[in-house]
Order: sequence, then structure tokens, then C-alpha cells
Amino acid sequence: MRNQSAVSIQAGRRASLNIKELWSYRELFLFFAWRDIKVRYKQTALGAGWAILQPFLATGVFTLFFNRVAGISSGSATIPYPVFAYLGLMYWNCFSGSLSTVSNSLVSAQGLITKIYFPRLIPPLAAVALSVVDFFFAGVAFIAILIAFKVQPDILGLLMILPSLVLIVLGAFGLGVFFAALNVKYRDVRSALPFITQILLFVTPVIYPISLIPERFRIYAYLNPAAGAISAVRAAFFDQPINWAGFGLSVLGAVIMIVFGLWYFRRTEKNFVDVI
Amino acid sequence: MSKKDSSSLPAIEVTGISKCYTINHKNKASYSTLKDDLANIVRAPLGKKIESTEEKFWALKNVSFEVPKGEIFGVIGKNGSGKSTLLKILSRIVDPTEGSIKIRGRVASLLEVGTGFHPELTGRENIYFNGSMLGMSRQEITSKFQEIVDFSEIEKFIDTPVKFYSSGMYVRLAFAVAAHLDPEILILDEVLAVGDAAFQQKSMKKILSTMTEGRTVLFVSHSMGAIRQLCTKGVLLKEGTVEASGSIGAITDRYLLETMNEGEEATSELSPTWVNNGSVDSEWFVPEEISLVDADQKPLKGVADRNEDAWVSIKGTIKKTDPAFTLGYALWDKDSRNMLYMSLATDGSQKDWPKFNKGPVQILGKIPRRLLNTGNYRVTVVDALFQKYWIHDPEASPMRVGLKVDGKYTSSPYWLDNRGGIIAPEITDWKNA
Repeated sequence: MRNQSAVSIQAGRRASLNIKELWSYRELFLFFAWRDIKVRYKQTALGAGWAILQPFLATGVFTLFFNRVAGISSGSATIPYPVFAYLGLMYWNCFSGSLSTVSNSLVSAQGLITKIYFPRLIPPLAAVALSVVDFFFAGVAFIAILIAFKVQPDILGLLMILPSLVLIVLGAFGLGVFFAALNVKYRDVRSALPFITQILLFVTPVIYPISLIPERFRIYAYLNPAAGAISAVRAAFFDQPINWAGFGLSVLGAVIMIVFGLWYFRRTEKNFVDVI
Repeated sequence: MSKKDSSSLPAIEVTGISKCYTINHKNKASYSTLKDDLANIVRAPLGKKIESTEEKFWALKNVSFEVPKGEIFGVIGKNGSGKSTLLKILSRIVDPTEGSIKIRGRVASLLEVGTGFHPELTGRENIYFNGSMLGMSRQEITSKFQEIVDFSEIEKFIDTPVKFYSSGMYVRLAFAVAAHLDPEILILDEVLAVGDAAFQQKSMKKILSTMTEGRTVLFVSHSMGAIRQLCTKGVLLKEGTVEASGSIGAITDRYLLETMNEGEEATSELSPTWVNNGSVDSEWFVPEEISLVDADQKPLKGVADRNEDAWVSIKGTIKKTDPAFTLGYALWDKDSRNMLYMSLATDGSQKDWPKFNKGPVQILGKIPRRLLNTGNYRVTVVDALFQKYWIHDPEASPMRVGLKVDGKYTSSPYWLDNRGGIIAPEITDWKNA
């Protein structure tokens, strides 16, 4: 049994992060993540192939319409647009995927939440795992794309893969955990989310380079964790200078989202069952 | 438990627990939409406050009790008395509005079997996930895995997704996991006692046998039979407060006395047919008429010959199908204090069950001949989602009819009338040794 030899329930106790309790439930977190991943690919013909196919097809469409028709380029003559777009989409899918699964994680776990106790942060935390796994599948295909387009990435680029991923996941989690708590009370979130994600795709430098954003707006653009993460990993990969100030702003954006998201989540948590 | 003095402390200490729900009459939906809340914010400052009919409802009010270590403790009360809320607070699912609780020991709470079962996962995978949900560690599940599988009797299908399971297999697997929990304190809901399939009895036995080893159980139910059988002490809840606590005999007597007094006039002269006046309804089934008929489905007008089979006819409409849905009846002694037996439409083997398709339905349940004594009985009709919960339980079900049994006892020339006993089965096997 989970090792909790004494439980104390106190009305009106103040919300706290309670990392210690979360840690004691780490095995349940793994089971949650494992279940989500298993279920995602059950009874699909392509299985994990979807993780590759999605950015692949999107890259094709974006290359055709934005690059060829609208004339948006990667911002450098040496970087083929499909490679540029695929790298961005890999990270973008991780961001939008996490945001959507995290936001819906509590409502999806409704049956469990009303029947059994566990830290309510477990479902949103586990929901992130799925998108990260997808990210690594998409990453394998990226190697093939690099070879096909004969692009040799910079070594520093490889070093930026992980920090950018962590940044983008933290940002998505922070925003998602706020939406998840909001979703418990207002199901409007469910309807608004696809729309929000779509808007975010266009204000984030995914299909265009951040240099396309006018200088005076760039500081706000960088507050979006996805913007800093994608711009930094791209710059590193294609041997361009990384805008560390911009990256720092994105980290700040992610921290603000996490702190606010967790604060709201913990504050409303004890009423979840009453309103879900 | 390492501390010496902790063994003398109660396992569960409930101090002044209250739970208040705010009922909002404005919204039909249980969750609000952003629009409603925004509308209130916009209109309130203009002085055009939306007519707010918020009402406070205290599901529990200042409830205190202690459960000593090693006790099997019963919590009883009518529907709406606060049992479920108390259970959810003890399980930490719902936060109390006031008060505090101390629980000493590892707790497992079983409010439903199969929590977290996912249809796409195999039996094996679900054992792991469900076990983990209920608080078992991975190591523990692995070490008990074979035992769980053997117990569930579905070894052959353990690697099949549970969506392909029959409802019987599903319940078996769910119970098998629950039966292998090994907590120090178990919080158990009566939902587990719905129906009386042999397998479920086996599970309950297994769950309770582990409890004889000095473990503490908190058992919530409104079935007096089960409570009396299992518990030694308990509390009686009424309208959210503790009405009585102490020895189980005293509190169950009090409970029965109360429920009896309320239904007194109704039970003395019960009509042989019951027709729904529109007050009885549920998501799954709307009853229309309950009556007692003979083998040719002719109405008995309330009087049955004890040497003929009588049938309980249940007529109504299925609104929503559910594989776990079942109907049945309970037979009570005329003074309504003792239930003689209960029979559900799904008690036999699955192929013999009546069909519960959407739309009008009529089913007949037999009251076997030569079982009841002459005299007055009461039949209550129940509906339930098997293993989940009662829609209408035997005790409180409003669907009730009276039955008068007449006729001679057996072919013996001796007994003509007024034989003793609540029942009078024909037991004629006597011989010289």
C-alpha cells in the first residue's frame, strides 16, 4: 500500500503545493501516463506513425501555401523551408498537444475524481507525457528529413533540443493547468480551446521566422514560451546567433504561467468534485 | 505503527464535520457557463441583480464519532441522511466545510468496483491501473497478480481488452482486484452489496476475512441485514446529524422503528396492485404497474393459494438501456420488519435473463408455491444497476403491493390452517434411521 500512515482532514485548510504528497503518488502518475499512451495508440492502424505523419503533412501544406504561394521564407537562403517548418511544427505540436490534453485532463478523469482520492495534479501532469512521447517519434523522422535535404545541423543545435523542449512543455503545462481548473467549472473552455490554439499558431513564429515580427512587438511575442523555444532551437540548429534575451523572456513567460496556473488550480481544487 | 501508544488511539476520529452545498436554482446545469457568471458581473453593478435563489443545504451538520482500531463499524441512515457525503469526506474526495478528521493507518476506500477501468486496456493492464488507483504499489500488484487472476476465474481472457468482456466478467475482474486490497482501514460502500450473485458473495467474504486480522472497516449501508451481520458498533444518521451511536443492535432497532412508524398505515392495508401516479421515475426505468398474477397471468386480487405459484408482474418502460440494469422483488413479513428473501431478474445464468430492451417491458417473477405460510406479506419491487447502486432499494422502494396467502399445508391430514412460522416450506423427508 501507498505509505501514508496517517491522514488528517481539516476543513478550510489553506491550499499548498504539497510536493511531498505528489512524490508519494509518483507511481500512480506513471500508471496514468502509461495508460494514456497505451490507449492513444490502441486500435489505430498507424499507431505512433501518427506522431510523424501529423507534422509531415502539415509541413507539406505549409510549404505549399505559405512558402510557395504566399512567399514566406525561412529567413535564410541556406535553410530549406520544409526543414525549417518541420522543426517548428515538431515543437508546436508538442505545445498544442500538451495544452489540449492538460486542459481536458480533469474533465476526462471525472469518473475517477468523484470516486477516489489522489492528488488532482496527477492527471494534468500525466497528460504532458503523451505529447513528449509524440515529440520523440516526430524527432526520429526529423533526422530523415535532415538527411534528405542534406542539412548538417550545428552541434550547439543538439544541445538546445532539451532546454527548448522543457521550456515549451512548462509553458503548455502552466497555461493548461489553469484551463483544466477553469474547465471543471466552465465547459466553455472545451469549445474555446481549439480556437485559442489556432490563434496561438499564427502569433507564434512557427511557420515564419520571428524576424518577420516588427521589432517593437517582438518583446511581447517572446513572452510566449513557444516563441522563445522554437526560435532558439532553430537558431541553434541552423548556426545562427541565439537571442538569449528573448529566450529569457520566454522563460519568464513560462514561469508566470506556471505560478499563476498552479495557484489557481490549488485554490479551486477542493471544490472540483462539487462542481464537476 | 512504530509508536507504542498509537495502538490505543482510535483508527478514525471524526470531529464536528459539516458539509454545506449551495444549491443554485437559477441554473439547470450543474456547472455554470462563463456566460452566466459574466452576465452576473455585468448586471450586478447596474443594480439589476439577477434573481438569485441560492440556497444553502447542510448535508452534514456537526457529526462526530470515533472508530476504534479493529472494529467493523456501521454507518446507517435513510436515503439523504448524509451517508454518502460522509463517505466521500472520509475518502478525501469531498472537502468538509467545517470540522476535522484523523485517520490512523493506511486507508483504502471502495466506493465503486472497477474505478479507472478503461475499455481499451486488457484485463492485465486494468489490474495494474485499478490496483494502483486503489493504493497498491506496483510490486504489490505483481506479487498478487496470479492470485487476482485465479480469483477472477477469467485467466483465458486476461490479455483481451475489457471492452470485449461480458458484464459478468467485467465485474469479476473488478471485484478480484478489490478483494486483494490489504489496507489497515477499509472504507466500504454498500453499492458492493447490490444483488446476490455467488461470485460477489465470494468477494465480500474474501474482503471481510482479511478484516478479522485486527483491521478496521467502516461499512456504510441501509441494509440492516448486512449491517447486523457484520458490524458490532455504528452510528445512525438522520438529516445530516448523528441520531444515535453505540452498539449495532440498539441503533438498528431504532432505525427500523423509525422507518416502520413512517410506513405504518401504508403497510397495514396494502393494495394488491400498484399504479404509478407519475411520482416514480428514473433515468433508466419508469414503472407503470405492479401486480400479482397467477400462472395464466390473471390478476390474483391480492390473494394467492399457497399451493400454486404466484407471479409478480412488473410493467413499465425502459428509458435507457444499461448492461447492469436489473429488476426484482423483495418479499417481506407482514409486519415489514424482516425481509424473507429477494429475487432479481438476473439471478440465474445469463442466457435465462429477461431482455431489457428500450421501450415497454413486462416481466414476471415467480413466488414459488408451498413456500410461504398463510397470512399477509408485502412485496416491494426494486430496480438497480447491478454492482453499482440501487435505483429503488428493497426497504424504501415505493413500488409495493400486499399479498395474502391462503390454502392448506401439504397433503397431510393433520395441518389444516394456522401453522406456525413465517414461512412454511414443504419439508416431507422424514424416515426411520
